[in-house]
Amino acid sequence: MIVYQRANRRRTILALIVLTAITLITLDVRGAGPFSAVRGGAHDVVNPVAGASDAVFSPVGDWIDGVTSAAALKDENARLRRRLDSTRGRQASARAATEENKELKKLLDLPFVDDADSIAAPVVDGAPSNFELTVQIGKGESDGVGVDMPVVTGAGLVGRVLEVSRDRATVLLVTDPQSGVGVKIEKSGTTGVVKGRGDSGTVRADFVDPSAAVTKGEIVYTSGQQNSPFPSAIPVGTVSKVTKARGDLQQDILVKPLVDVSGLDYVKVLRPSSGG
Amino acid sequence: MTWVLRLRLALLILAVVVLQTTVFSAGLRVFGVMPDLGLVLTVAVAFYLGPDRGAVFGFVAGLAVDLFLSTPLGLSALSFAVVGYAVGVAQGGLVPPSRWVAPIMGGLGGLAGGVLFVGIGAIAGQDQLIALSSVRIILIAGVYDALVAFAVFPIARWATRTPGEVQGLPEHRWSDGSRMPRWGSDRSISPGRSAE
Repeated sequence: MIVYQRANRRRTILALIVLTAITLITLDVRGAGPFSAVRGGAHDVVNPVAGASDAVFSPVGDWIDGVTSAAALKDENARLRRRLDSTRGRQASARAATEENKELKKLLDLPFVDDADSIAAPVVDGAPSNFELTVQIGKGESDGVGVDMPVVTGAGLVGRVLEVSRDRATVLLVTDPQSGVGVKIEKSGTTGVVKGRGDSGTVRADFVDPSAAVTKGEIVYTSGQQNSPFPSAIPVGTVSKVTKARGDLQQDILVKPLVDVSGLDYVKVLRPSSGG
Repeated sequence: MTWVLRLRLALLILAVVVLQTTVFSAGLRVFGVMPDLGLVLTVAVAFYLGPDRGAVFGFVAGLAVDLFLSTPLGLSALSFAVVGYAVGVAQGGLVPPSRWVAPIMGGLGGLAGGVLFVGIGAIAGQDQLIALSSVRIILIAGVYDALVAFAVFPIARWATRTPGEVQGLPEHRWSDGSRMPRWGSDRSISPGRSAE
């Protein structure tokens, strides 16, 4: 009898927990309830402890990272040096083109990345889960960072701000499957949506006109379409693979991001300009 | 459950959240994958306290972890709670006494928790979780969880002790009355032998 009652009590507890969890999931998915504020509050409580923990343990993590990736870093260093030489040459000619482009954009009254104020922020932590591609940055609401603001580096688009607490913010990387960015492909001029694939290697461009002639190596930019959190002309990546079988309704386009999101140290958060 | 025990468990959850969001997320990854500390701790606590307390602890620990994830609030809480309940039931007589209990339970709990997280997440509209990369992540994380369990089980063993405990509590005995193996300094006591 006692054993039966105990088993009954256990099942009741489990059923209550399952019901509560399902209710929470449903409310959060529907965007109901003060969950965003609760999450922000939890970050504010844990951030001071997390900051101290980072200071103590980050040298250990850096050391392990350095040991496990020393060979790859050496190769990458050589490759980057070669790329730097060729980039210096292109930079001079690109500067003139950028100025001309800015003038033309102003004439068209489109938002441009250079018009936006920016907030430089250090990347302090990675994602706290294996199933999401995010980074934590060391600037938050008190520094003017807000939800949905675009995040970039000198090379191109990193992602957008997903959540913000007082001193930190979570950035959803372009490589995360939850991320979607409206883009324009350089030469063909066709538009599409870049979606993450869950790894840092490549992203996929969907909804691209199947008749557009997209070629490998083309640069993909943000399109800056209406209601998009991203201004136009932020470089996203280069087309690395185009596959289109006969009769397919869309092209299978893979894009290699210009930013190596696995090795970020500092990023810039773009604030929309007041006039923009 | 005394307030001292509750305080210890609450501090453990806080420590897990801090470690998961800092040390492990920033650097201690193997092939880009980190262990699920909250899940392993839930497995260990459920192993020592049984199914009902294991489920409640898993729910609270999962909820604390959920506050720092972009997936829906309650997803980790539900998967941790179900794993905690299952481990508690298994501990009641299905698991043979062995010093390999910690890595085996940690690894299996990690695999089950990962599968539940992806499965429930997909039902809740997180379609991105259904991917080949998720299988790879669950498998690597399961192995990592098994290794981390070597350290987590002794800590959970310490945290779930009650003030009156000297050599062992009834909760820490197998269903046949024999004593569970001690994780830590008391490993010399072979499983199944009475301490008294």
